[in-house]
Amino acid sequence: MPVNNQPSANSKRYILSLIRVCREFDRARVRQIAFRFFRVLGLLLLCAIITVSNRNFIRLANLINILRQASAQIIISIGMTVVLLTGGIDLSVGSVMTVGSAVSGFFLTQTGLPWPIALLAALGAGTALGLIGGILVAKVKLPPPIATYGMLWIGKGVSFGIMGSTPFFGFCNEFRYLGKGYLFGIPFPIWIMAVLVTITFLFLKYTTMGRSVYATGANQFAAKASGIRVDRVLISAYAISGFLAALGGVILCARLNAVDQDIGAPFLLPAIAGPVMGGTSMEGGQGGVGSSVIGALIMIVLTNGMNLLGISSLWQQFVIGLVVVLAVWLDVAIKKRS
Amino acid sequence: MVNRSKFRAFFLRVPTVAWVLLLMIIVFTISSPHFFTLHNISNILSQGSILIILSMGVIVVKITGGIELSVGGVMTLAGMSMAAALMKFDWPIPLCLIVALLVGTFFGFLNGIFVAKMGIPSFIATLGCQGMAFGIATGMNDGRVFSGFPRQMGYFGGGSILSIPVPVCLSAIAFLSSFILLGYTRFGVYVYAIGGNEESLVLSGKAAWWHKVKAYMYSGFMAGLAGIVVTSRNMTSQPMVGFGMEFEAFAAVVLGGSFIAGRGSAIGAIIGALFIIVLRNGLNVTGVPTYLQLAIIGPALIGSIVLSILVERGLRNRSYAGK
Repeated sequence: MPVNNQPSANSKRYILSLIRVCREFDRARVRQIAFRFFRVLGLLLLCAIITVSNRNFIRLANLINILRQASAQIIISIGMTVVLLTGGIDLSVGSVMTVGSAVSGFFLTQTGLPWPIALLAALGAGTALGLIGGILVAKVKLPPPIATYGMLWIGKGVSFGIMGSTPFFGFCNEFRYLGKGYLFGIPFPIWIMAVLVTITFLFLKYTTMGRSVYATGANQFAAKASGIRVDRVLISAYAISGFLAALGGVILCARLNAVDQDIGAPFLLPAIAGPVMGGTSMEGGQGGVGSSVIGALIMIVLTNGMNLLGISSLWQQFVIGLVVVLAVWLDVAIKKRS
Repeated sequence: MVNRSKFRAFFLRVPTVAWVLLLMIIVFTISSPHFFTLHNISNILSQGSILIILSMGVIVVKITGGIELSVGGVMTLAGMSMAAALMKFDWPIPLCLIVALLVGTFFGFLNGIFVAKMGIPSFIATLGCQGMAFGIATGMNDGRVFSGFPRQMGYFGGGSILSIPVPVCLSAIAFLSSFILLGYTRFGVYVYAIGGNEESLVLSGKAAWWHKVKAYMYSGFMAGLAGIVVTSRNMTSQPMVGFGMEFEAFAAVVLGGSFIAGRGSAIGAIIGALFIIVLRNGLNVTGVPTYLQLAIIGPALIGSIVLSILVERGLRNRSYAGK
C-alpha cells in the first residue's frame, strides 16, 4: 500500500511535536511554579544555610521563638498588605501601634477597669485612627503617603498626650497572657497571628469586599465604573490596618509588660518592606496575605540567623538593607522577564 | 476681571503654607517677646539649616516622583566617614569634606541606579540604602562616636561670615543652587518632565534614566553637605544623628506644595522647612511642654497640608471654570 509510508512519517512528526509541546509545557509550568514559590524557596535556602553553619537554628525552641517574634510583625504586615493592595501605603502603623499600647496601658494601670475594656479601647483607638486616615485618602483625596504621614504625627501626639513623659508598666496577668501565654504548648501570639492570617486570606479571596480591594488597587476608575464603592473599600482598608496595628501594639506591650513612646516606631519600615519582599506590588492589585507572612519571616529569620552566627548587631542593619533591595530587585527582574 | 485672574495666579504661585507660616509667626510674636528677636531668628535659621539643606535635595527627587527616605542615613554616614578620615587617617580637612560629599553622592548614585535602572520602587530602594548607610555608620567605629576634632572643624557649624552663621550661608547656597537648577537649566526641565510623564519623555527619545540618577545624586550630595554641617556643629559624629530626618525632609517638601509627581519648587520646599522649624522653635519659646508640643505639631502639619491641597484645588477649579 502506497499510503502506508505516509502515516508513519506523519505520526513520527506528530509524536515529535507532541514531545516538544510536552517539554515546552513542562518547562513553562515548572517556571510558573518556580516563580510562584521562589520566595518560599529563598526562605528555605536561607534556613538551610543558617542550619549548616549553626545547628541550634533548627531546634524547635528556636523556631517557635522566631515565630513568636514574628507574630506582631506579621499581624501589622497583614494590615499593611491590605492597604498596599488598594494601591496606597500606610505610614502610620508604627505610631498607631504605640497608641494601641499606650491606651491599653493607660486603662490597665491608671483606671480600675477590667482588662477586656482596655483591649477594646486600644483596638477602638487604632481603628478610629485608621478610619480618619482612610477618610483623608478616600474623601479628601489626599495622596496616601501624605495622609498617613499626618496620621503618624497625630498618633504620636495622642500617645504623648496619654502618657505624658512616664512609661506605663506592670500589667495584670490576664492581659499579659495575650503576649506571654501558651495554648497547647504554642505561644498565644502565634495563635492570634494564625487566626488573623486565615481570616484575612479568606476575606481577600472569597468575599465581595476582598475582591473589591484588588479591583480598587488594579484600577480605581474601572472599579468605580463597574459599581464598586471605592470610598468604602479604601476607608475599610485603612481601618483594618489601624485595627491590626493596634492589636500588634497590644500584643507587644503584653509581652514586654511595659509601654514607652517609641515602642512602635521600629516596626514601620519592616512592615512595608516585608510584604513588598514577599511579592505584594506597591502599585496595588497584586499580592496577598502569604506575601506578608513570607516577607516578615525572611526578615526575622535573617536577624535570628545573624545573631546565631555571631554577626555584630551593628552590621545587621546593613545586611537587612542589602537583602531588601536585592530581593525586591529580583522580584522586579523576574516579573519583567516573564 | 484681569485683576482678579492676576490675583488668582499670584495665589496659585505662592504656596498656601506661606500664609500659614506668616500667621504662625504673627501669633508667636504676639505671645512671646523672645520670638521675634534677631538672636532667635539667627538661632532658628542655623538650627534649621540641616533640614533646609536636606529638603533642597529631596525636593528634586520628589518632583521626579520618587520618595527619598535615605537622606537621614546618608547624612549620618557622610559625617561618620568624614570624621573617620580626619581622626583615623589624619587627612587634611578639605580632603575630609570632599570625602563626605563623595560618600553622599555615591549613595545617591546607588539610589538612582536602584530606582532608574533596576526598577525598584523608590520607597524600597531608598529605605534599603538608608539601612545600609546606618549599618555602615554604626559598624565602622563599633557603634562609638568620633570626637575631639581640631578647632577649625567647627567652622562649618559654628563659624560666621560677615556675622552671618556659616550654616545659614550654606543653606542659602543650597537653596540658590536648587532654585537655579530647577528653574533655569535643562536638567530642571527634565526633572519636571520625568515627574509629569516619564513614559512620554522616554518615547520622545530622551534618556530619562540618567537624569533620574542625577536627581538622586544631587539629593545625596545635599545629604553629604548636611552631614558636614551637623558633624561640625556638634563637634562629634554620632552614628544615629540623622535618624528621622528623612521623614522631616519629606514633610517639608510636601508642605511646600509637592503633593504629586511633577509639582513643587525650591521656594515651596524652603517655606515648608521653615514652617516645621518655626513651629518647633515657637512652641519652645512660648513654653509649651514637650509632650503637648508633639500633640500640636501633628495636627498642625496635617491641617496645613489638607488646607493647602483644598485651597489649591479650589483655586484651580475656579480658574478653569472662569475660562
